[in-house]
Formats: sequence, C-alpha cells, structure tokens
Amino acid sequence: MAEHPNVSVVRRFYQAFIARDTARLYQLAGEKMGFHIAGRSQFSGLFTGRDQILKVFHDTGVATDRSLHIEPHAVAGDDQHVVGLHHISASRAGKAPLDQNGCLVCHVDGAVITDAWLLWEDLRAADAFWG
Amino acid sequence: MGSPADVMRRFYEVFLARDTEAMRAMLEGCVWHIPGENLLAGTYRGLEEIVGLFGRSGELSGGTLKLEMHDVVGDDAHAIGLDHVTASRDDGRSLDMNRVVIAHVSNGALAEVWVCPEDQYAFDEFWS
Repeated sequence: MAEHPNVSVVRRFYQAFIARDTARLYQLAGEKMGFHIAGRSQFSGLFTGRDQILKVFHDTGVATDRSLHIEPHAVAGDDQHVVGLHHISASRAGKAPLDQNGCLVCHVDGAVITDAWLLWEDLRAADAFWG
Repeated sequence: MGSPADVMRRFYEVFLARDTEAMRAMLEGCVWHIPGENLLAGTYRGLEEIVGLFGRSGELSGGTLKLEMHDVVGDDAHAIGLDHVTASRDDGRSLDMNRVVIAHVSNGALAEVWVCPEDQYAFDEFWS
C-alpha cells in the first residue's frame, strides 16, 4: 500500500528536523502553522508561524548543546490527521537526561503541515528536563 | 480481521456500545497504560484488570464519562486513536480534553495501549 502523501510530509518534517535543515523545515511548515508543545516548561505553548517555530527548535537545540535527537518510530495518517510516534532523547548539564517516547499529531494541507501538537509520554519528566 | 486502525475503530464502537462481550474478546492479554499521578495511573495487565479500570473510571465520574472518537490512523503494527473525553465528578471538577490513544495491535486484538492525554496536569487533577 502506497504511503499517504500527508504521511510523507510529516516523515520529511522529522527528517529535516534531524538534519537541522532549516530550509526544508521552512518548506514543510505552513506559513501560519501552529506548533503546540504540551507542558509547563519554558518551551511549552503555542508557537505560530515558521519563524517562531524555527526559533523554538533552535532554542531547544541550544539548551541541549545540540544533543537533542528524535527518532521516528512510526508515522501513520489519513486525509484528516497524521500522527508520528517517536523517541526523544537529549541531555542538559545538571538535569536527568530526557529519554522517552512522544507523539506528534498533525494537520496537513497539501504539502505543508498547518498544525502540530507535540505530546510527551512522561510530561513531568519532560517539564523537569526543559525547566 | 482488518488493519490495526480497523481493529481500534471496532474497539471504540464496542466500547461506546458497552458491548462487554465483544470488548472482552479484544482485550484478552492486553496491557493498558494510564500515565500520570492520579487514581487511575498505572499499568493494567489482562482483561480483568482493564475491565476493572473502566469500571473504576465510570464510578469516579458517576457514569458521566463520554468518549467521542475523532479519528483513527494506523500502519501495519500501530493504531492511533484521537478522541475527546468529557466527564464530571461529584465535587464539580470537570474533564474536557483531547487524548491520543496509541496501540500495538496483533491478531485482531489490542496487545498494548498507551493513553496520552493532551493536558496531563488537568487529567491528574480530575482523576485524583
């Protein structure tokens, strides 16, 4: 069964994030994309538009001294939604390492993601990590 | 038997229809995870424990728990349900949130399920 084109968009988004390919991330994010990060950390909240989203990606990279890594486990979707299941790991000085599963729920429209919600398997551990 | 997504859609149907027999057939050997720090949090192994969990959530919410399936997606091994739950407690607390329900599916049954609430803190507050 051929992969749903919306699934490919999210798969490419993961790949671009891993490669820190900002030009590609820019292409895959809708102009008014909303990126929702669950929790109560400094990086939680709604980030709107490519510039804000790329900035939070950059800031999380800086905060973890580029140790942040996301490994997609499965990406599945239909016309309405795409969900990515991933493992996320990172380290920060003085913090217990981040090492847990998460998921990314996306709305895809054409070749771009218009909304994404990032959820954590263990939100308290994620919030403690990000501070 | 259908795809993992078909199996999960069927589970939502039988759960919503309170078709206990059909539900039981899909939960044999299943492991069900509820995250967080609350009265329901933990790992439930097997039919009896999971049915007990459903019963407990029904009791705590005085039968007000309502589940609405929004969408189910999946691949060869996973099914992912997107749903919305509402419920209320005697003391006026209320729950109103989206959840992601991730499952490993094998042989037409749910093998392992992880519930991921959109707002873990509100989820804990409600079920505490």
